Amino acid sequence: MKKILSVVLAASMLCGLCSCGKKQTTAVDVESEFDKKLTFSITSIVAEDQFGPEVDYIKKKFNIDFDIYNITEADWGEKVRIWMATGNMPDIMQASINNKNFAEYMQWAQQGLLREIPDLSNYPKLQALVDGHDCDDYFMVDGKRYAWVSPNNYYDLKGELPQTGGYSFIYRRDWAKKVGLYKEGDVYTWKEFEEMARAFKEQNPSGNSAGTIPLLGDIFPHFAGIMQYSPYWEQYKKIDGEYVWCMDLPETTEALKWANNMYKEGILWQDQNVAKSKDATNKFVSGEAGILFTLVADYNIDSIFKNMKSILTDINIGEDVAEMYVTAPDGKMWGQFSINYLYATMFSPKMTEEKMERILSIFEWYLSDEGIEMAKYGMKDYNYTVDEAGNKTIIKDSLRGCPFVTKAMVSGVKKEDNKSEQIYSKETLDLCDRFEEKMLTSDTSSFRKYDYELYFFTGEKYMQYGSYYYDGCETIKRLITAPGDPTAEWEAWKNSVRPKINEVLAELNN
Amino acid sequence: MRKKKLKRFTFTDFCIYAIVAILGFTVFYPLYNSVLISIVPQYEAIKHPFMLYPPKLDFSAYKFAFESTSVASGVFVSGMKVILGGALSMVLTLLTSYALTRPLPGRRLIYAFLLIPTYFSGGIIPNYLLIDQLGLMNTIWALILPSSVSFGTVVIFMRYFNSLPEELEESARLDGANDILILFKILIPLMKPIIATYFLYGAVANWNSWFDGLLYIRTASKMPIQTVLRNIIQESTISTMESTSGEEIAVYTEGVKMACLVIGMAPIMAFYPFLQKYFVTGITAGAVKG
Repeated sequence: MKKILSVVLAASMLCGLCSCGKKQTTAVDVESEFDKKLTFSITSIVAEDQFGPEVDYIKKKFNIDFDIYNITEADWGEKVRIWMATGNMPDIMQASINNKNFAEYMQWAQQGLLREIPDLSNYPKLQALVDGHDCDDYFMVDGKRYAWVSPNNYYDLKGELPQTGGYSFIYRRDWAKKVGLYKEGDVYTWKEFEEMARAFKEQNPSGNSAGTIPLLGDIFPHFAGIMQYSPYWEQYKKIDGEYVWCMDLPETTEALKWANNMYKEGILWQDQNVAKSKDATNKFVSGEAGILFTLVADYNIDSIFKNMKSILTDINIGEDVAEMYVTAPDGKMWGQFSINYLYATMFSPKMTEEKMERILSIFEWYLSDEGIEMAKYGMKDYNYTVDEAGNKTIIKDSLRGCPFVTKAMVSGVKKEDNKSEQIYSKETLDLCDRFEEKMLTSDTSSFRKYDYELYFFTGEKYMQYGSYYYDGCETIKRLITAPGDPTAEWEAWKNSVRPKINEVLAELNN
Repeated sequence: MRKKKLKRFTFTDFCIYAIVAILGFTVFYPLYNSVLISIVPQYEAIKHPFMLYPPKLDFSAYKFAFESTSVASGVFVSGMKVILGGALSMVLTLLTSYALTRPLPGRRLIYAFLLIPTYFSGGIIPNYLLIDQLGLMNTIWALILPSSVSFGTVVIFMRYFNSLPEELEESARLDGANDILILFKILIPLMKPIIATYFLYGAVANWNSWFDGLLYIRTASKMPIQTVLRNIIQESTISTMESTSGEEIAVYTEGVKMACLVIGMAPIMAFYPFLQKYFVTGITAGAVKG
C-alpha cells in the first residue's frame, strides 16, 4: 500500500512537471547600429526563460546579450553582500537601497567597489532626468554618481503628487445605515468614527453569534489610531528647526492611550496585536468586521471585493462597502507621499568604458518616444493590440515580462492610463477614484512627507539605533493590551532608550 | 490445546490510545490542512481557515508554481543532487571511515584534521571564494561537493566498523582477500541498514537544502527545487512592484506557499517507504558496542 501511494505521489509530481509553463515567443525584427556584440551580466528577479519579447528587442537593437544573475528582493542580505565582499558583483546590479542600507552603498562607493557613472552631457535625456529628480543628489558620493536612481514616476520627478493610494479606512456602509449613523458622502469626524465603531459593537449588525468586530487593521503599525493621533510617530521630525523623537511627543502617548481604551472596550479587534499578514482583511472579507484600516490601492481593494463577493453572496459591493473619510483628532485627513525613487542601479568597477557607453545608450533610448511607449505598454501584438481607431487593448502585463532588466532601471515603472480598467472591477476603480479625488481636493487632507535629509542620513548613531522603531512597535503592541493605564510603562520604556536616542538627536541636530 | 487468553482492553490502554491519537492528530492535521489550503480557492480558505475536506477545488496555486519553468529544472537538479550527492557521500564516507579504522600511518592526524572544521567553520565568504576559485560556481558540483562528507556520519560508520567481529576480516584475509574486497564483499553487505538510513538522511538534507543554491547558483535553471520554491514564494509576495505599478499578481499567497510546501515534500515522502525497513536497525547501528 505504502509503495503504491509512493508511486502515485511520484506520478502526480511528474504530471505536474509535464505541465510546466512554456515561453511564449514573438518574432522581433529590428536592425542594430552597433557592430560589436557585448554581454552584460545583470541581476533579474525573473528567470531568463520568462522574459517577454521586449528583452529580445533590446538585445537585437543594441547588439547585446545578458548573463542573468537571478535574485529575489529578499536576497540583499545574503547574495548581494557576498558578491560585494568577494568582488563578484555582476556588471549591472539593481537593488533596493533604502535608509537601512544606504550607509553600505556609501561605503561601497568610497571603497571603489562601484563604478562611477560618467558625465552625462552626451546623453541629454538622462541628464535632464537626473537634473529634475529630487532624490538623485542624495546618491552622489564625494560629488560623483555611483548609482542610477530610477524615479517612482517619470512624470512626477519632483515628487509633487502625493500617494493617494495610501492607508485609510473602508467600512460596511450597509451596517452604518443599519445602526443609524450613516452620513452622506461617508465623511466622519473622529468622534463620529468612534461612535460608529461603538454602535457596531453594541448593535452587532453582522448578526454573527460571536458579535461584530468593530474596528481592525492590517498588521501593526497599520491599524487605526496611532497614525491619526501622531502622524510621524515612528520617526524624527524637525520642529522649530530641531529634530525631535516623535515617540516622545504627547500625541503619541495619547494615541497609545486611545488604542488601549478601544481595546479594553472591545472595539479594537482583540487579536489585533498578534494578527499576521492578511488576518484582519480576512475578518472584514468574511463579514465579521465593520471598519478596516487598509491600503486603499486598486489591487488591494479589488482583491477584497472579489473575495467578499465570493463569500457574502448577497452583498452589493459598490453600495454596501465604501471608503470612509475620517478626520483625525487634529481635524486633518492624513495621507502620505511615497518615497520618490524606485530602485538604484549600480555598475561593476570591472565594466569597460565600451560597456558603460552601450548601457547608457540603452538608457537614453528608453527616454525617447519609442522607448517610453515600450516602457509603458511593452511590445505590440504581445503585450497589447491596437484597433483601427488607435485604441490600445492590453493583453499581457508588460512589467512582468521585462522587469528589472531595462526599463525599470531607467525611468521607473509607469502606470498606464487605460490598463486598470481591464484588470479591476468597476466598483474597485470607482472607490479608488473617489478616494483619490477626495484626498487631492479636500481642505482637510494633509500628507505625510518624506524628509530626504533624514532618510539618507548616515550618522553613526542614527545608523546604529535609528528611532527604535521595532522596539517601539513591540512596546506599543504590548501596551495596547495592558490592563491598567499604559502611560507609566510607556514612559519607562522611553526612558530606557532615551540615552541612545539623545545621542542620535545630538548627531541630527549638530 | 491451550486456549489463547484474550487480552482485555483496559482504561489505561484507552488513555494511551487517546494520547497517541491526539499527538498524531496535532502532527497530521496542520499538514493535512496545508494541503487543503493549497487546493481550495482563496475565499474558501478565508471562510474556513481550518477544514476537514475541500469545499471546492481550485488548483491555481499549483498552476502558478508549475508555470515557473524553473520548477521542472529544480526537481531535476535536486534529484541529481540527491542521487549523485548521496552516492558520492556514501562512497567517500565508507572509504574514509574504513581507512580510519585500519592501521593507517598518520591516522590520528587525519582524524584531527577532519574533526577541527566541525568546531571551527571557515565561514560563508571563505567558502564562497573557495567554490569560486575551484571554478565550481554556478555548477551542480557547488551543491554536491561541499556537503559530500559529514564527519558525524564518518564517526558513526567508524564505530560500526569497529563493532564488527575481527574474525570476519581475518578469515577473509586467510582466503587471500585484500582491503577493497573485504570492504565491498564482506563489510558493506553487512552494513545495508546503516547505509540505507544515512543515505536517506543525506537525501533529505540534499533535497531540502536551499541556501547553497541561493549562494552558488545564479542561473534559475540550475537552481535546486527548494531555492526555486523560495523564489516563487518571494515572487508571490512582492509588494513593491505592485504598489508602484498598480498591478496585482493574481494569486493567493497562502495557497502558493502551501502548494510549494507540498511540491517540496512529496518526492522525498515517496522515497521513505522504500528505505523504512532499514530504518530502526540503521538508526541504532554504531550506537552500541556489542
